[in-house]
Amino acid sequence: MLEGRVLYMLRGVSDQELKEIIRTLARAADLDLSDERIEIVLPQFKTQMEWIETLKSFRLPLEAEPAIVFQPKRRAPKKKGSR
Amino acid sequence: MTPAELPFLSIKEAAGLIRKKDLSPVELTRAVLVRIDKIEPKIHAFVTLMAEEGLAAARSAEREIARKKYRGPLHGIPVGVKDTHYTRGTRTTAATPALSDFVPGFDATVVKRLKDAGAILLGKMALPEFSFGGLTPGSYNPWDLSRTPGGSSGGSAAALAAGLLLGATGGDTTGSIRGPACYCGVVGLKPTFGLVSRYGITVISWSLDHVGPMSRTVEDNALMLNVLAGYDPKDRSSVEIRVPNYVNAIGRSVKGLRMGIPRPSLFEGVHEEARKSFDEAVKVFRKLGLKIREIDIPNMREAEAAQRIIRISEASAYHETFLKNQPDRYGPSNVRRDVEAGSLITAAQYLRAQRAREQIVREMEAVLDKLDVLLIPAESEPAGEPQRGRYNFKSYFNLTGHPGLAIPSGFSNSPAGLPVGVQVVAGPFEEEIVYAVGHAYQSVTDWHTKHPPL
Repeated sequence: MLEGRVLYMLRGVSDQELKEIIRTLARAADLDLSDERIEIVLPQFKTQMEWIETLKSFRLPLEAEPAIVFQPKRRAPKKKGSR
Repeated sequence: MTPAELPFLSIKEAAGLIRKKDLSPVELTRAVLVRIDKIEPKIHAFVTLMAEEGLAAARSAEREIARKKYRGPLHGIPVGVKDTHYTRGTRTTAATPALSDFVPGFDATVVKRLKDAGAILLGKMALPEFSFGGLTPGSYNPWDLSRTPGGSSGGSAAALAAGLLLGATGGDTTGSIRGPACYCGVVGLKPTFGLVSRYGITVISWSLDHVGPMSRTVEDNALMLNVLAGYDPKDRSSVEIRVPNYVNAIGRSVKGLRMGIPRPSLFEGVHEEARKSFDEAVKVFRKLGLKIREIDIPNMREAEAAQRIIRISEASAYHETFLKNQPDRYGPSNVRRDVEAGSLITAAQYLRAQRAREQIVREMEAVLDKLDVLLIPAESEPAGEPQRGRYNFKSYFNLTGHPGLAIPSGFSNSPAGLPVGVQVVAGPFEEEIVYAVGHAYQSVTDWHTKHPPL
């Protein structure tokens, strides 16, 4: 469980400021969030920040690639007569 | 054998009788439908019951078998699929009002594979909205009707435990096959990432979603995986490998296999009953000749954080259209809130989680280099008990993609009578080892033969 960890990056940031951050991020994401929705989203946003904080301390070597692979696939052989 | 006993046959037993024409698929399907009629009002495991379609398929199976066109061990066997799986002509709701009237025009690959194998699709199984979460609201655990069957594949697990199906499928992004399997005392496999196609299944997270078989025995699970596994070019993550006959692993000797168990500190917060059962299971494996040693599972907290960031980022991308076009059609769950918040994670934060994932996978590979299998709790507590386990033993392997098989390992004393379970993990595409170990355990224990007193 990750709950209960100290939020270093949010230490001293008020809920009002966090709501402004959410509003700005939502605008950048082209997401229409009303004041009421921002209020609902706030606790989950804080939880996400905890996850992100947890990963900040995880040492990543420069050569570490993300676990995302794009593998182009060979196209199927052309049918006779097609170009 | 009386009709009332038929729904609790294993797939292997039923298949043997069907093949010899000692049991007709229609007779079996009718017996299961009679039990559904009696028990379903108590547990609410189905979103959509497909009684008419099921009986028609059973009649067709009966005719084929009479003409000596036996398709294999799933021919004539009543199964259910999670209601995230597209079913041509039958609604697929994912338990959300946003899809309440969605009728797909094609079958998910796993549905097609089950139908091609002659299985009788009897229904679409209950889940939480869009498969989000570890509970299945509105469904009840057959072992204690006041408790949850777990989630998100809660309907599949509850129906199997209650004898309403002989086999089922589930989806697993954070542990959603293994968790409910454990809570309901049945077997659930999260296969290796890429082994079973996810094409035609509603998405939580493209890089974490797995689909797998659920059953009452390990051997039945292997029979189902034989049908479900295999390359599918329609699923970008599908892996093109030779699929073995998993049933060949059943009965294979496990003597001398190296089994790792977590060091004691990793059990912090694990319910006493789950811990006791785990320790007893270790004794059984020691008696079976496995070499047991304690190991560390690296970076469990970081793995959980990475898994959650990846999961919700990808879910938010999938939900973009729903959020834009029909935000008011979400149900009363937290899905809308979660995907709105997830939309605020930056690409760099997401990619950091995917880079961490790569590192964690390598570290787990190093651990498994010295082992054949890993044994961990399937769930940290019995159904409905407070979730106090410090570490998540399930989502770790969604992140790494390793196969994990949940098997029942006993019942709690306090609270009384709730199933508990263990999970066997092995290297990628080593489902055969996982099955061999799981079956060896079931060959000397009888937890999987117990049924709830409904």
